[in-house]
Amino acid sequence: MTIRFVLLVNKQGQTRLAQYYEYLTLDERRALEGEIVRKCLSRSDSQCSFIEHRNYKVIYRRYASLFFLVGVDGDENELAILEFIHCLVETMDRYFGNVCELDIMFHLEKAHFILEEMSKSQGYTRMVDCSFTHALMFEREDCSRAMLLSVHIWFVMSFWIKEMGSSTSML
Amino acid sequence: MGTRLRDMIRSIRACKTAAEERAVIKKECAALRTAFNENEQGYSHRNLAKLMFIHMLGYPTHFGQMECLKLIASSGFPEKRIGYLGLMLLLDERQEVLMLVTNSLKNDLNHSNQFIIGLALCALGNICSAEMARDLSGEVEKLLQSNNSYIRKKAALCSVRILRKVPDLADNFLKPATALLSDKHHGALIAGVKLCMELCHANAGALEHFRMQTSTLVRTLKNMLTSGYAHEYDVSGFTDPFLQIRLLRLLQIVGHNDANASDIMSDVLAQVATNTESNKNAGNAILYECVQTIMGIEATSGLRVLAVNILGRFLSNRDNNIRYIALNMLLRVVSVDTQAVQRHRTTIVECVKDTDISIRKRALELVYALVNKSNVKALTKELLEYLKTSDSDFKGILTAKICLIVEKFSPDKIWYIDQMIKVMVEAGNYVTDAVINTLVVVISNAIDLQGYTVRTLYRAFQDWKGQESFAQVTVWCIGEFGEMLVNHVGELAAEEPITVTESDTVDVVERVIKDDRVKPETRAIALTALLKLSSRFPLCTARIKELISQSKGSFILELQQRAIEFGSILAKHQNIKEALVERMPVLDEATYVAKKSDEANVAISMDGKAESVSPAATRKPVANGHVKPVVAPTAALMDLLDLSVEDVPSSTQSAGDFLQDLLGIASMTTDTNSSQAQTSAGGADALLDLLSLGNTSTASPPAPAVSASTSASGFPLPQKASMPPSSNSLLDLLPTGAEPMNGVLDGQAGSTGSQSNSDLLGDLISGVPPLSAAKAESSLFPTVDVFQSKALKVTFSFSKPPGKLQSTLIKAVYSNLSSTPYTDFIFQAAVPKFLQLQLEPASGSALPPCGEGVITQNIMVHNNMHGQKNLAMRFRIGYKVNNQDALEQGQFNNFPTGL
Repeated sequence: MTIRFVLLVNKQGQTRLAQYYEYLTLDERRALEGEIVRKCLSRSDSQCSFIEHRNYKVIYRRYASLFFLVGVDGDENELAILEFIHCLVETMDRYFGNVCELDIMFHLEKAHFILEEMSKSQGYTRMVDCSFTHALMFEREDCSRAMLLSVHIWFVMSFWIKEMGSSTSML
Repeated sequence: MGTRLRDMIRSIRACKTAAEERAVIKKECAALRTAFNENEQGYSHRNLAKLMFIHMLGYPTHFGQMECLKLIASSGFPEKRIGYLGLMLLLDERQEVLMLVTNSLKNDLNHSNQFIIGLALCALGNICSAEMARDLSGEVEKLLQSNNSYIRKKAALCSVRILRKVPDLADNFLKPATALLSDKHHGALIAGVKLCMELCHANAGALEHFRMQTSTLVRTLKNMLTSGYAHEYDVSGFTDPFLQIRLLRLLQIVGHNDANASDIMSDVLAQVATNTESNKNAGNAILYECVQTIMGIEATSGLRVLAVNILGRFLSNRDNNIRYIALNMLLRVVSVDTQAVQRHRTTIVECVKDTDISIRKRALELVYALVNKSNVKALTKELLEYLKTSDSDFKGILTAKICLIVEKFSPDKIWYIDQMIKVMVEAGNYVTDAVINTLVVVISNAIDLQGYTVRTLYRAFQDWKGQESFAQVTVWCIGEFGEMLVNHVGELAAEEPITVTESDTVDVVERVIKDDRVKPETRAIALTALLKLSSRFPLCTARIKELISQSKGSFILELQQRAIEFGSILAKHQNIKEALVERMPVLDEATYVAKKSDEANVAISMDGKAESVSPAATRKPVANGHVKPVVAPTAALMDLLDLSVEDVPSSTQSAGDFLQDLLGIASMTTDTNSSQAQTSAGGADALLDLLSLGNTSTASPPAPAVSASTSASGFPLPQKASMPPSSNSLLDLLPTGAEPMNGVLDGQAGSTGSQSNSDLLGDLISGVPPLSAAKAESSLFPTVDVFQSKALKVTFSFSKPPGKLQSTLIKAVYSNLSSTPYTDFIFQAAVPKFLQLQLEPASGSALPPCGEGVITQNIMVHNNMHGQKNLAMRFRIGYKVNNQDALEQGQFNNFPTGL
């Protein structure tokens, strides 16, 4: 039971973020993305969020114009993955502040960092959400609330803020 | 310095066409290449980000791989971070460049900064190969015991990947993984649980070990349930559902097939199942996992009831996601507890009609699993009802499932036939050939139902809308049992009587033959049906003749040929017609089943009728009256025929009938032969002769493969014609047979004005004399020159050991054509995998000059794909001339077909 890939695709079928955790060639990826997106786009909101494609089970959820797709194998807990997608969106939302497609596109590497932190913990750890997300969050929000956090988180946070800041300026 | 990232994205987005986009990307890639080459400082972030964007769009980015490695080797965190990200996205474990990163990873794993260690662990966990895993597992193990929870978590996740790559390392991780199970930090704990699961998969010893830890796991889970609200881990009101789910999954693994562990966890499972609220997705996810666990372990019946009730609740939920989950779960439960699932049958059947294909598919699977003898009637009725309204995508899947259900569980034949007719009426175009074949076999065996069947079909056929399979079965039945329509034979009590005239019956066949929608195969069946009807309905003969002659101009060779042959039978051979068009013998079900399982070996899909006919035809010669079971040659025959079919891949359409026709001969030849020799083995040999004649005769002149098939399929008529006189010898058959065929083919040539057909005939006839010659030598296959040079000649002659069709005994003869003697002569051979080769010792190793003496050697070849592939051989001949080594090599593929 593992996540095989995470995809963010817009309504026009353009990929906005893609992470694969198994080897696929570029052509295979393109074909897979195309097929899955077509399937998802043809489904209505009332239909369930799971489709079976090739040997994957794809769990998807639509947020505004953006589809979040997670491909898993065999016996993954589908509902948990849905919850994971929601967590991911919440996290991005907190970081980017009302996240939209353009945010993800123009801050591709940050979106990758967030996703990397979250999906890598495959157990969709909440801890990531705490240390990492809060750190991201407080880059924008006032720091007074940050004082409430534990020392550890504070450390992580300040570190990430600093580095995020410095890398942002370089882009 | 190039453009900014957002400028690049903007310009890519502004592209109107794909070509434009490619051009922009090409330009950007060129700029990136230069930047990488010139080692521009300060922009590496941006360049790599661009590269990732380009990669995401699906363009090759391999030129950036070295840049990633460079960034990883640099000292700063931001550089390392983007470098590692690039590494994970742009590289994969198959690239050799990856080996270069091992050292950097090692350094970073020993770094003092926890985040850098984290990055390295993360990268390793994403892309490590087996070698890297071995190299770095020591470091990771150490980090698993780090006092920093962030690192412990990452190390555990990294270990999962290492274990997957190198399962042997499991023992090293056992201790640290166990320690992680009592970790206070959720992040480290969840990663630890994941690691334990991986270990359990990796080896049985670890599984035993973790069974001992069941109580720890139970305690952790219980603490979470009772701890109350914790801000950090709260997900819509539940305490870390992700961790709960993982723990439940691990419990399932350790409790599987272990009563003791199952016992320990049953309390906490009951607690989870009863206390979790199901109004939110997170809660449902936990419940779902809990049900899975209960079903996976040796749970008490009370716990099972609890789980099944939860599923029942899920199934009646209005949210499609939840219903999907429930169906998915029930499918797994059905093998454990069918009764529990049966209770929800009506709901499940409703789900088959859902608008959502994901749900429909699941539900259909489940229905299939639920069917048994007692409910098959009700369920099939429901499904058939739904078949009427389902959309075309789903119709195929549904039809296949209904056919399976009906075939497998039908309580009696009449019900089976009824249901199949209904399926064909509703979704005739989705019914597969195999299903039709089974149906035809059943009809043929149900002697007292044949009348009923043909009448039901006739009635249903009045609203025919072009369903292929329906037309095939109807026309076949009318051809076989058409007179039962008219004379009401075997009428069942419940049947509604109908009045059908002979010409009504012919109308049905005419309708099929003239319909544009049907395929040629169906029309071919219709033609045969007409021929059969002609003898049963003498009044309609003129009309039938007219109908048959209409197909004489068909562009499809098969139809044209049938029409001409049938026309000729009607016109010139009234005396034998009766025997020819007799009802087909009862198709033997047992043979058919055997054949069906054998089907995978038959490369081409054959015309349904021919396929079902062949085994029976072989078993019981039709018209000859000698009903003598000739079972032994059947297998051999099939092999032979497969072989000849393989030879004519270009004419697959007619191949089925070709097969049937050939079998027509086969049954007869074996019969005549066995009446002579009283041995069935002899039959096979005779047949071999016959077929090898066909092969060699067409192989010797450069005749195309298609002509081989058509000339061969020209056989049956003359064969049948010459049958009634006592044809003692097999060889007599052919020349006599050639004459009437002449007439047939003349007719054809006349109608189409083509000359090629008479050429075919020429081939055929010219093929006869070599047979007698070959027969005289009592060798089935010609001797061939495998290798010939000025100095050396190698010939092979072939024979088949009796009863072993797959084996061939090759007698190799080597002779020296030069004037110097050879010594140390050795012949070596190699064959493809499907062959087995056995070289026996040669008769000597010295070859006298000028062909004065020879060396012989026996070679046994066993062809595992007999009938599908020909022999092929690569050989090497070594010998010494005047003590100088000489070597000859070559490949030989032109073995006679049929070996």
